[in-house]
Amino acid sequence: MAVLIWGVTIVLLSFAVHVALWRMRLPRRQTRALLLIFSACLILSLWSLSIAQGWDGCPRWVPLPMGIAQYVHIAILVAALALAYVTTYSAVEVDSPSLLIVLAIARAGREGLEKARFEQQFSDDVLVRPRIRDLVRDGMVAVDHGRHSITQKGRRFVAIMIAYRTLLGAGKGG
Amino acid sequence: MASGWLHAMVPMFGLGANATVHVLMRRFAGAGMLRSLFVGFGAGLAVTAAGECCLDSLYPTTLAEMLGMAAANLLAAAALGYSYFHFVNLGETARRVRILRELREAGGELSERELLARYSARFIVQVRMERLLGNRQVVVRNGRYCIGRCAMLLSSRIIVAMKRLLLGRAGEATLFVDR
Repeated sequence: MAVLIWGVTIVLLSFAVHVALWRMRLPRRQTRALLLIFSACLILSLWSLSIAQGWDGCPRWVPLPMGIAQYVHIAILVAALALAYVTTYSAVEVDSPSLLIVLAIARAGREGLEKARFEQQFSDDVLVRPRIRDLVRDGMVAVDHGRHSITQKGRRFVAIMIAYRTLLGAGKGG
Repeated sequence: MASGWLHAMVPMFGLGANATVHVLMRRFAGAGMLRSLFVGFGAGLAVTAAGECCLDSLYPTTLAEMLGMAAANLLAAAALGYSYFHFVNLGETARRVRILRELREAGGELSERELLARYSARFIVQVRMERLLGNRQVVVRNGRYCIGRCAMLLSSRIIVAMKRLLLGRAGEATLFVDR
């Protein structure tokens, strides 16, 4: 029970810290900041639990982890939940084209949205150029005299994606 | 205790089963991407549950402890499966991945104009509309696009609510989204 209770508590604590920090100031690299928050909360919490275990005054009803294996187990649970949240957050940080499309159609109500009007609204400025800027910010693309070139970091990342797509027998995507 | 380490590893076996079943279904059963992902996810949870049952029979403990451990591991396996789904989806739909692929295939370098000629907003919208129409999330009535099944709309509204909570705005692009 200690694994479940402390795993969920640490994730909720991390989320609270995340919301509080975001209210104060939005980090430039949001995903990296999120990973740092989850890691810091995990490390501090596990350290606190290890201290509580050696403390005679700790109430008996507090379920403490039994042995290193349970500390590792808590870390695995927190890492899994953190990873799930960070992948969801990417849809919060960046507008998904499918989300924009569906919301545009929903906003038009029961009558629906004319195809012609619909097709005018989604431009390269909305859907493509921001993603190119993200790649430059993250060091995966470099810009020099108007030429965009893929960096080593970008090559490594896309190589993993291509390899897995090949394994799945899938095409380019996008 | 050995049981502690074994319990800790169970969600990883679940993730392994998830990915293995997904890949096998794609390569040998010719299943569609979405269907094979869902089946793989189910297999991951099933392996996790089976692993927990085996360990509980080998190392019995109190009912509360067994239920707590099973809940923790099923939660971890579900979270890992969800993340795996999104990893695969990155290759399927992520614009940044496609942009990197276009640059790589062009020998590593393109001007912005050349890049947009290969991968543009028009193409992005076309592909997504085909997907939304294929899944009946969007339907065509009297030549106009209308909402069909509501799963995508519900997900979109949840994401917008999270954007308002965390970012104080509905999105990067305000068109059609700000109310």
